Amino acid sequence: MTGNDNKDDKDALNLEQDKMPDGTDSAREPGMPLTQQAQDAIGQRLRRSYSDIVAEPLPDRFEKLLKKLANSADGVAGKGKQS
Amino acid sequence: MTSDHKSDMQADLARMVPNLRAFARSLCGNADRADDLVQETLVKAWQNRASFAEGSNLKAWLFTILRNTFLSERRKRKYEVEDNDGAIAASVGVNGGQSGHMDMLDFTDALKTLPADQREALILIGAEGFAYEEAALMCGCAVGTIKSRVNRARSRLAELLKLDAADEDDATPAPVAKAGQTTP
Repeated sequence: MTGNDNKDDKDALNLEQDKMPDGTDSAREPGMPLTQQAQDAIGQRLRRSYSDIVAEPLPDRFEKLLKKLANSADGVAGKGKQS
Repeated sequence: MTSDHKSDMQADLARMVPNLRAFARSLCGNADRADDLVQETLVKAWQNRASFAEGSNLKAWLFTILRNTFLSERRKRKYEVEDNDGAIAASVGVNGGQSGHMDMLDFTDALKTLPADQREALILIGAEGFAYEEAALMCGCAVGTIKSRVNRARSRLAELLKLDAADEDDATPAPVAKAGQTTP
């Protein structure tokens, strides 16, 4: 499921890099090396934006679902299968 | 299976819901769909709980289920994620050069412009803290592939957010380096 005629050069670059032999450390050479400062900044923002979502209040559908699953005899909720 | 065992699993799954939601949202970009995805994941996990090896990484197991569910659904619906990505990428590309500093919203937008596989790798490693080996298992690819995706994701973000420009210098925006250009 590829479709190589994607966008433009940016993607061509990515495809090229995808062909690198697995397991090697060739991953070290993206377009340009990042400064430690840039890496830290990205890591920080990434974790912040992600943990904002993690910290969101949960809709109660999940608790209800888990209870329902635990109460069903074979764990198949809603199907009423019983052996 | 004892009822204690059952309620343990129930509690363990409940604890994972917030992270599952966050990961799901990073995959599909839509909060409602993400929650549906989490719901399906929980049902599948519960039905297959016997196949979970006790003592192994529950979060990795659940994330894998969620990921597979998402992918097979997308295949079914021929959901064109890449098109969305492209549209956002284009709009960010236009505005990106003008603003001196980026706030959280811009970071989130920038994240959305990444190719799906890079964004996924970055989330698993950088936000969830999985080991490269774990992420590789979850994504069914080599460790080196995960590493390279993460690196490319970081580079692209740094570029979009202008983090590579020497310092935060609002007055003179550095010329925008294209991803394709490498300096010798």
